[in-house]
Amino acid sequence: MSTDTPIPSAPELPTTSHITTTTATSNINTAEGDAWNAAFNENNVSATEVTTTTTASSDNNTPTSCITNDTNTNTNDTTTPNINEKFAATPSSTAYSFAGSALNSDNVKDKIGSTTGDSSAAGGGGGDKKEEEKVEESMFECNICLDTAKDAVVSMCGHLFCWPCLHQWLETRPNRKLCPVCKAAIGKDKVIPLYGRNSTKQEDPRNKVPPRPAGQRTEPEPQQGFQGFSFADGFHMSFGIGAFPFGYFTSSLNFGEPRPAAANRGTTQYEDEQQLSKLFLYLAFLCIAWLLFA
Amino acid sequence: MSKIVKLFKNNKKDKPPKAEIITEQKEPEPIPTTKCGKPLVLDNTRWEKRLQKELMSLIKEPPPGVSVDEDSVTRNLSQWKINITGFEGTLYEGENFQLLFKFNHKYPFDSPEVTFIGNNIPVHPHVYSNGHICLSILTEDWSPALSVQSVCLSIASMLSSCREKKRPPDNTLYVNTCNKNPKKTKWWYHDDSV
Repeated sequence: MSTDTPIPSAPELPTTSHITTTTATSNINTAEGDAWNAAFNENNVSATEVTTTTTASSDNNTPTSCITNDTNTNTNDTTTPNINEKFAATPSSTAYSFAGSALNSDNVKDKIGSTTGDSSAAGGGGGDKKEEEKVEESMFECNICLDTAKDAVVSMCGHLFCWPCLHQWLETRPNRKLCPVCKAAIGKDKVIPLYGRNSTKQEDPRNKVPPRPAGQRTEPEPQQGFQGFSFADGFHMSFGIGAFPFGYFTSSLNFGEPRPAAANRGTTQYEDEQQLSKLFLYLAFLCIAWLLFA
Repeated sequence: MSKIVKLFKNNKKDKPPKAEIITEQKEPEPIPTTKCGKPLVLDNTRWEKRLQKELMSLIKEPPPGVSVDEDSVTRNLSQWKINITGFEGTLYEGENFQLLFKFNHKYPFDSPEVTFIGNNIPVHPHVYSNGHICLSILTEDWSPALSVQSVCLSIASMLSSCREKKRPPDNTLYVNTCNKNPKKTKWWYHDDSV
């Protein structure tokens, strides 16, 4: 059995959360946090983490407008070209986009691409950005609903889920709580909530249980009392003995449904069927005999 | 045995069906509704959305030997017909089979109902002649991270690893006594070799 769903591999996830949390703390005073700033600052942080040069990080805490950010990228270009090289060399670390802001971040990358177009390294990486975009989007898909994870939680084994999805799965099999992807042990206390920067209310998704579906009750089958005697259309009469032996067979024999066609004469299946038929016939006789003499 | 069955069927025909016969196997209950009778839209769209996504990816990038019957899907999203072809170099090389996937509103938390349909049902130690498949991921080992694609792949690999074309030993008994829905069968998974 193989699970071929594109899943983020375990070691990558901690880095993601790390980066997002650092941006979240370093950009507290950034006004309303639009996607542009978000993506830009993320890039800065990841770049500084990679190169450990702190020229760009000083701009992080100022609430900047788009235009000034543009110039910042330009200065980055001219002063520290090695950052851009690192960008192109490690594309996976440059493009962490927020869930739901894929469109915006796309624009951002086009902008960055145009401003840094003169450097050869970035220009070369621009060609397959769309594909990267796709891969990245699927990286943050919930493994259950296949949508971008909402109220995301990550298991100890590194698999990403929406909390409502995972919760429903755990409810489905309360006595066998296994990770849907790798079948490792999983539970409410064994998953970690993920907080992105733009999530306004940083409450633990595990605390809000998805709205429970309303209780379902089906009306009982209409009981029409004793139906044994009916004189309306033709006369029939039936008598029952407490434990009617064939009531037992109805559970497995399904009289209401069409039977499979009998096998062709001469095949092994035909012989089998004949044997079975005899067996059941004897069984029936045995039951009747037992009823009569017991 | 068929005699007895026919005998009983004839008896039951002229009588109104009794409750004791019907209650045993019921079709999956309809989509749950709220008190005011509206369907639970939230739940409803979620499983449909996931099926749509799976369908798109299956049409766009079908795994080798697997193709979706798009007509059947457009008619009813909860019943898919999927054609699979036996791989080269296996006992089923060049043979075409058709699988029927039935999804209920609990999908993906509940496994789909998967059977072989059509004239050509593979002769395989884990496939009964009525199309039922003995495969653990279709019942107890199901996980919501599995998909139509992975189920198709599992079935294809199950066929490919077959060494001898034969029916399961209890084929006749099972085919004559089983429920139409293979998920109602209590499967016993004991043979991991094929």
